[in-house]
Amino acid sequence: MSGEAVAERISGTFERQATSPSEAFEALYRRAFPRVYGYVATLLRDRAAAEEVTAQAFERAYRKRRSFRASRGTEEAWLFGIARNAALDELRRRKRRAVLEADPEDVHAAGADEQVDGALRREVVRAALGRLSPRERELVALKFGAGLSHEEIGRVLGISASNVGTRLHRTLEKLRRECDEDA
Amino acid sequence: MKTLEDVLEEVRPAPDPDFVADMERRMQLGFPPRRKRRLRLPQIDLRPRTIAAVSATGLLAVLVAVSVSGGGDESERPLAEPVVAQEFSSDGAAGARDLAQPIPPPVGGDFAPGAEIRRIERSAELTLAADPDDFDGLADSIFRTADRHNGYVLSSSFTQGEDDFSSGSFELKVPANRLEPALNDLSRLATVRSRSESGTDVTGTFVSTRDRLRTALALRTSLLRRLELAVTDTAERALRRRLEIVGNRITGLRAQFRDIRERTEYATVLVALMHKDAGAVTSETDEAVDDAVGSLEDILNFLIRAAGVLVPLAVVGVLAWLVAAYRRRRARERALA
Repeated sequence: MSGEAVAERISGTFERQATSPSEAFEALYRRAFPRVYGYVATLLRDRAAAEEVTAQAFERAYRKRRSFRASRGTEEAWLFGIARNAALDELRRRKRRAVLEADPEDVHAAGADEQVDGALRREVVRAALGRLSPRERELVALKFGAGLSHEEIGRVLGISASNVGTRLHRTLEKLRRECDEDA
Repeated sequence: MKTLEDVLEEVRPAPDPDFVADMERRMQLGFPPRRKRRLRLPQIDLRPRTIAAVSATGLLAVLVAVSVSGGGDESERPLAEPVVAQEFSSDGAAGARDLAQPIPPPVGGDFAPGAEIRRIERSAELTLAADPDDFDGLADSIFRTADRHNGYVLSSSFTQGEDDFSSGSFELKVPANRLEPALNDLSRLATVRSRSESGTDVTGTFVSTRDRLRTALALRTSLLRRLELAVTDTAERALRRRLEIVGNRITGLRAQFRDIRERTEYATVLVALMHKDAGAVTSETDEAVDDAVGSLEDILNFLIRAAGVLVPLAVVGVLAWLVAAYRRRRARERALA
């Protein structure tokens, strides 16, 4: 085994260009933090719980950063796997379905008349998202909230990339129908 | 017109600026635990499943401890406590019951302070090396030496094999006061490879046995007198029965006494014959190697015993971990159901 390979195994390389696991983790944090929060908030539909779980996920990931193996998937897939477990643990702890206590506000809130249509459409989509099952909502969150590829989503959920594509397609169709009904 | 996919990306919840700032600070600090964990007394879970798990773990721990320490080996059990000597009782049925007990071995130390003559049980071991061709002649010389010192050969064995496999052993009995001259004569027969002598003071045993024999003899005399004066058949029968028991006891004590006297009056000499070349190359290095091999064998035996317990435990542990991980995963997935 070459020296580089050994170094990779030992450090659990986050990024090839990073000089240490801590620095690599910081780079991952900066890249993924908003997306992790978006994913968790979409799944839990509770802002306070989402903050709690996001912080918890990064704490766990930071503690386990040396156990990351590039051969098992990307850093994002690894991180979102941890975030998912933390979110599901939170759901279990509360023993309730994700309830929209306070809808995440529209960050793109309309400030002018021409943006009103867009804001309405976002409201419709958000409401339709709330009617999806948690599984479907999670899939949407991983794809559009976290921006993961099908391959990475498959790693997080433990299913194949093609299966992800199929499920996502069905979910989007369902969401589209819901939106059309609302409109 | 924006597509559904575009809108979905737009509606992604964004973190609160205060939360972002807090996370940034925590990132710089290396994500220290946010909450101060309160010290809580452990709550005892008394569910049957928990109790069963704790009991099983405890049982396994005990099994490990017992197995690793090598417990349960009959051969390693301590010897039973010595039987306390029964004292003679000269009256009543209780006395007869006491007398009926088997003769216990002498108790107490063998030191017996104040004894005029010390009784020492002597023994010696001698290893002689010679050419196998000379073994026959050597055996004859050993017999003659024993005879010359008024001793005798108690047992002997002789194996004539090829080269190193020829060997012989003799157990001689020679008068204790002739032990040294006899050993000197035996040592002259061949090359002495090893010679050792030992002595055990058995004066205490000797004195104890002698005293108990005297007591038994006195008791018999007393019983005989009482038998002469017995007026009823019942009393006569009881006395005869006790006389019989005392008689048996005297016989046993005499045998013991004779045995001790013989062991102290005659020394035991063990003579071993070996090939003159066998073990010639034995050196301290060889002994050290033997010791090292022995130590390694001991360690290996210990590891095998430990593995015999730890491997099944590890398998059970891994299985338990797998089951727990599976159940945890299922529980998490159920949260989405």
